[in-house]
Amino acid sequence: MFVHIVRKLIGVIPIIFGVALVIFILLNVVGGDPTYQMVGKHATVHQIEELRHEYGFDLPKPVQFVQYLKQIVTFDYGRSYATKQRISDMIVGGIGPTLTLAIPAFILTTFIALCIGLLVAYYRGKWIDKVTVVFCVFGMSLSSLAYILFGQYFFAYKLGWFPISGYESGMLERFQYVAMPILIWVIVSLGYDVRFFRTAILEETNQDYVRTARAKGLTEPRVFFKHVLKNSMVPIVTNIVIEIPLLILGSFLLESFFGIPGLGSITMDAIHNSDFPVIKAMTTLQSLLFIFGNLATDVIYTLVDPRVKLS
Amino acid sequence: MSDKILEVKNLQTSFFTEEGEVKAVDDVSFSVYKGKTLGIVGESGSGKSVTSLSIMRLIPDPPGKVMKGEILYEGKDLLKLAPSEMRKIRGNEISMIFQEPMTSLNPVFTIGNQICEAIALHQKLPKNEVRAKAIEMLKLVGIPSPETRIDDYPHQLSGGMRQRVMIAMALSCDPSILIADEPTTALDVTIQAQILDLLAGLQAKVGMAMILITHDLGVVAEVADEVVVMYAGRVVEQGTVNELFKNPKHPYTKGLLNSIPTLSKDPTGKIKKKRLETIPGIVPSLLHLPQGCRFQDRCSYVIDACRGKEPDLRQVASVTGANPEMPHAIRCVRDI
Repeated sequence: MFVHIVRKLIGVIPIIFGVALVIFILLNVVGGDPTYQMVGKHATVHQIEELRHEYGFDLPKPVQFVQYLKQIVTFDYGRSYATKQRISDMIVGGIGPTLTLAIPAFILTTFIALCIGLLVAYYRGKWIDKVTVVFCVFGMSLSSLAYILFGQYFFAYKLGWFPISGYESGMLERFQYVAMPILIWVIVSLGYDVRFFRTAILEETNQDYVRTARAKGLTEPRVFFKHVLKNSMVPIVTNIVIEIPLLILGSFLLESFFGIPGLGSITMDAIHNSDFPVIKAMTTLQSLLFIFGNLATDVIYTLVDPRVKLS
Repeated sequence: MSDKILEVKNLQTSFFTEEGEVKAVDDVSFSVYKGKTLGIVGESGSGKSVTSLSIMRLIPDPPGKVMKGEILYEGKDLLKLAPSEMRKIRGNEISMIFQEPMTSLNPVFTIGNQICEAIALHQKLPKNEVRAKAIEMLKLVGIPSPETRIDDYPHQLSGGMRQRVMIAMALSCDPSILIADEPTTALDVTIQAQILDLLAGLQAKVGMAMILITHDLGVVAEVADEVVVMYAGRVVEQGTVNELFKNPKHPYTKGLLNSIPTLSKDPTGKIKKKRLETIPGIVPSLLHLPQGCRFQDRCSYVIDACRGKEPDLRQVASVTGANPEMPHAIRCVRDI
């Protein structure tokens, strides 16, 4: 098992290299020369040359690529053009607020969605199932912007239950600010997750082995909670695990609307300011998290499905 | 005369589809006797599997429902039992094995887990004895080194081995009736023979009755004592296996028998290649049945009378000696 994981980790290296190459081409080759944006409208040729040299844009592209690879390995992405802060410090600073919002929201969503999914799959075809499916589609059809605006206007402004936006880093104070974003996150994701879990479970209830289990004389709850559930865990676990690494990046929309200074907000600001090093760092981070998330899913597969072997 | 253990009387099972009610099994009656094997034969769509699932009360509802009839087992009507009472019969007194050994076992549990589950459910045994019994069952169905195989997952076994596991599971509680729904259809020919031998051997050993559902008349000839031929939800002919093979009276049964490939040699010793006979056409849609006999459109003996009233099941003279358990009867107006 351990050997297999190490082997998988080694296999990840060429993938990371490929991803890095694509990001580099997009941002450093196709993306053009960021110097012009940085110097403004009234720069002299001399100023431009100086800046180019300072940021290393005058170096040959392969050398720049090697520098970028070094950044990935050392987790040192240089400084932001806009704020001049070290990017690694920005990321470390942003993780706290992001996770304060993302972790409770994710756990709540997954837990509630699993409970509802199990319930409606067990009572498939009954009224509770039908009503839930209608609610899910309704929930999925509404843009999260609608929830944000409604929440901010009604609950925060009219009723004053929550602050409209902002953040404090105190251990307890922070939660009054993330309460409403968490609530909106849960409501927005619930429709999709419930439907996904329900479908994953229902797909299994029509399998032949379910009929075999019934033919043994097992009770319906036993058929459902033993035989069906373990089989439907494969797609469900994948769906859950694949989301976990992406939590670190945060929700662009919720963070920027509620003024939570997490990685989502940092990324949005970087895009507004054409802050290339930050964009590059965040894009790289997202790719890495995704790759390692997939790796984790592979390992977890072997725990739920005996047919899957790491080899 | 042996004891009647199961009697199906006027069974009607319907499926409710968007186009209307489909009577998959329509007024079917037969009896199963202790220690004997009843073969139910017919093409796909003839209602044979639905009949067996109706006996087990495993028809998915909705869309299916047993509409009419009685299924008498030891004097009790299974259709009237409470779900909890029916669960005590399923897997315990009446067991079933299925056509698809590849998918009929749960892929994420070991075979031991799945066999033990059935034993623990119906028999009050301590845990280690449950496992011992499961190993004994695996040995009985001819699985080599059952002590280690018991911890295998289904995907580690071949199709034939999986069907053996299904049989071990079905027989683990010493049922009085085993329903085998096309148990060999998905298997290689050599494995088919092994499984049939195994079933016949086990039946002789434990004295259970068996309902064997198949479209393969070769299988029926090998293991069945009595045969019911089904067509489009109806019984069209019934009789003992000897009677039916020697003296088929219904055009459909004749057609089925003629469509078995045979090998014979000409005087020079070369194998004669005979063109295989087929029954033209397909089973009619149960939603659009013709008026009169359901087989009329595929029958080469059809006359005007076939298109009037649907014929009743009527007894005909037997050439192999009258059998009160299973009188020879056909649903056909003609004598051919």
